[in-house]
Amino acid sequence: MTEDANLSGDATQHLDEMTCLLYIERQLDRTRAQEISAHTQDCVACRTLLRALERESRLLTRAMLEEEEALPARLA
Amino acid sequence: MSAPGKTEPTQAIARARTGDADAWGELYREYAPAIFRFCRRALPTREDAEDATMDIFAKLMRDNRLLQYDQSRSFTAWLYKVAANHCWDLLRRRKTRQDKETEDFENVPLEHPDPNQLDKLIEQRTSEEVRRALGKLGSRARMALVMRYYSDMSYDEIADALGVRRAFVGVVLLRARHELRNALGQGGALAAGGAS
Repeated sequence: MTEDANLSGDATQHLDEMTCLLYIERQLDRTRAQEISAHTQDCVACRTLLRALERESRLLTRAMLEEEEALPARLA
Repeated sequence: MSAPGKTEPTQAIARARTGDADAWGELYREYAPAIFRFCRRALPTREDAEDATMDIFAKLMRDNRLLQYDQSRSFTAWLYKVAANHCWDLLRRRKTRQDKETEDFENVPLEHPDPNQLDKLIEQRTSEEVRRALGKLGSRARMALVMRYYSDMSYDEIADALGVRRAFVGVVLLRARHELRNALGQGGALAAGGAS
């Protein structure tokens, strides 16, 4: 797995998923993030992948937060 | 990170550091529910989560670990780190068959997902289905997802808790997501071909 995005300017050469994840999690440096942002302006597939990963993050957070179990009696 | 709507219990912490039992009681009543919910997400059973919550607070009091807490940082975030370390120690000690199976696939390249299929899968899945799927994951995958998407821990904090290099945290999270998608029953349908 590589963290290098293919950014040759050809929108048919897609970003890898690792790069997309690090991008949405704001783990890339500014220059790399700008390159990815520019690439996704032109590439529908990579834009869709970024959106799907963001939705996946939100779904995970929602799933873990929304069911709040009461503190069990022995812990109260 | 801090609990929404909460101010840091500075006075209670200062008193608890001196061994004030009432102050410990105050901190426990305020924070035990959040720590229980964290443990409930990270550990396999409700009983495990109850035991872990009690052990975490008991150890904090017994060893007066509050002395290690830097008061310029968020108390909730610090408590989550303590809870994450405790849960991960526990899970490592009792490695499950699921964990061994996960380890076997650790070096298998991940297939690049079909963006449209993935988007569709996410749209169709409910929170309930995701919670059930989380319960089927190996320990490290579940732990990583809970630390990142439940308690909003940073990559540095996750690396520290799991004992991995910071650069490896993204890989752990991506593998965990793939494991989750497989547990949701759609893993095979997502691959677009090629590995990333």
